[in-house]
Amino acid sequence: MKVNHLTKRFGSFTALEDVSFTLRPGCTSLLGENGAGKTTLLNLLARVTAPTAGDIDGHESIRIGYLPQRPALYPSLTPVETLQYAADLTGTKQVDPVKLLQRVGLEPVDRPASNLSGGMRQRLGIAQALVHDPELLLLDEPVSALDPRGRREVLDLLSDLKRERMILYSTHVLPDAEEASDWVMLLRQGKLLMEGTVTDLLGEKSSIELRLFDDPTTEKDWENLSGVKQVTRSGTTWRFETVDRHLSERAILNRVLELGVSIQSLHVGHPSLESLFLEVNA
Amino acid sequence: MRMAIFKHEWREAWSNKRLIWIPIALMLLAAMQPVTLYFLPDILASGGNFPDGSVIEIPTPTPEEVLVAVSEQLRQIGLLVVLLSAMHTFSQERTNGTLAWLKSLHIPATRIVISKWGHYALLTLGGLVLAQASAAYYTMILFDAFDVGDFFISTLLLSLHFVVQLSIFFLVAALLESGVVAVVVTLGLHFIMSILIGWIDLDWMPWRLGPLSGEVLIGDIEPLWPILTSLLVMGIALTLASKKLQFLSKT
Repeated sequence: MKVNHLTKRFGSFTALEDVSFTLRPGCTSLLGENGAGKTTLLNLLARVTAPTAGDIDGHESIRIGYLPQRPALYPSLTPVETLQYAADLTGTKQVDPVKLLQRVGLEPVDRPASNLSGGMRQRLGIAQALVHDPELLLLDEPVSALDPRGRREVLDLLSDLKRERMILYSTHVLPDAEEASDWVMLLRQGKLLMEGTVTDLLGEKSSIELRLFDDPTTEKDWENLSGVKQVTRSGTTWRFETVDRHLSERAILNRVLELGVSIQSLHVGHPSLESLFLEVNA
Repeated sequence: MRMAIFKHEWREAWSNKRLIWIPIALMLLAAMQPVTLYFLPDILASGGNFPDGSVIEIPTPTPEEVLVAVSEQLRQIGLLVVLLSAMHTFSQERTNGTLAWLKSLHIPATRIVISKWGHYALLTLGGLVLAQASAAYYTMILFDAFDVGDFFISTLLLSLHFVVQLSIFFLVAALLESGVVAVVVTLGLHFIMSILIGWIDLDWMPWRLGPLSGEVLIGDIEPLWPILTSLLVMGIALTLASKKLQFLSKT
């Protein structure tokens, strides 16, 4: 599914500006600070709002399952009735509401949606979005109301579902995005800042922390190391910010040998989406 | 599939008991009028605080006059009851996100509007028929017989009047975020137009249908133009409401 130059304005406020990307099969996570335009983008893809400019190829014919930030449930309907109504609306005949509820980890309780807990409502919202076997599943913060166990179950469910369809979901839980996503998109102030696989985005960055026995070195000793962007000292620990992990590791170890000092500890810190997110939004 | 929203509205009407209390409220409003008029001298004598020896002479109204009063009662309080029952249409669904969810399923806005409107129109018509029947029953046993043909036309005009007001409410409710404000605006417009058509020669306006539903009981009327403009206003209101809901502006 190809999104071409999508722009959405509300009066003089631009919520989304000239966003283009191709949505691939598998799971894509949509990251960004509050107000970055994630919900606006999901609403546009879900056909809830119309774009001010731009278009989406194949948008009219695709089956879309949508879970808004607050699950869209009818307060008086029980979970089974909710799914039956969704099936009626979409003309889906071969759906077993009880099985679908169990798939999202929810028992078919005989209580109206208004009496369900936040986590149960979220699970029911996901089941509702799946009733008509959508080709594109749009989820706006699907794990925000869930406890750690519920979050784990939903992540497993996403891993299971992504084999059969495209999934785009927004989240603030960056370790989850790192784990569950095949593709990551980062929005900032309505613009698509970067997209790619997790490896693409994080690249070869890392940080290396080095402690020496009876450290006699000064900052001058650690100058001109290949693959190292910045060197800082914090107490007895040297910290190397690298742009090429392998090159920098080799250069640092060579320098240690040249200086004839002994290593007390060496820790290689792998980069995370969280550090990238904080760096980009700093 | 096409009837899913329409069926759902009836299910909701049953679960929140709207299906029962709207007809009952309209029936009570209508039946109270002949009963009150019949017992008015007794009510005044017992609770009026008149000095001893006062003589109250109230001419007994004709059955037609009683039914005119019923029509007025329904047009004022009855319309308020119907609009209050429909108050949360669109506004509640905007708030709980179900309207956006329906849009994501590619369900045409026209189907959403017509299904909901159809439900409320049928519920109102059913309630009005029962209300008019109860008013007719008490008028007949407490006063006298009346022309059934004229009463039938009166009921038709009253029903059309309600459905037009409901259509206008649907448009206002689609345009505004608040259901309460939509009810106030619709009733305000109804009130202003009812006064205006009394002052100025605007006999062709849809708001004339209400008064005509009473006038038909006591004389001849010319309802053609108000009926035509009512159908036009209904069509325009529902089309514009659908256009407005085609894409929801709220994110």
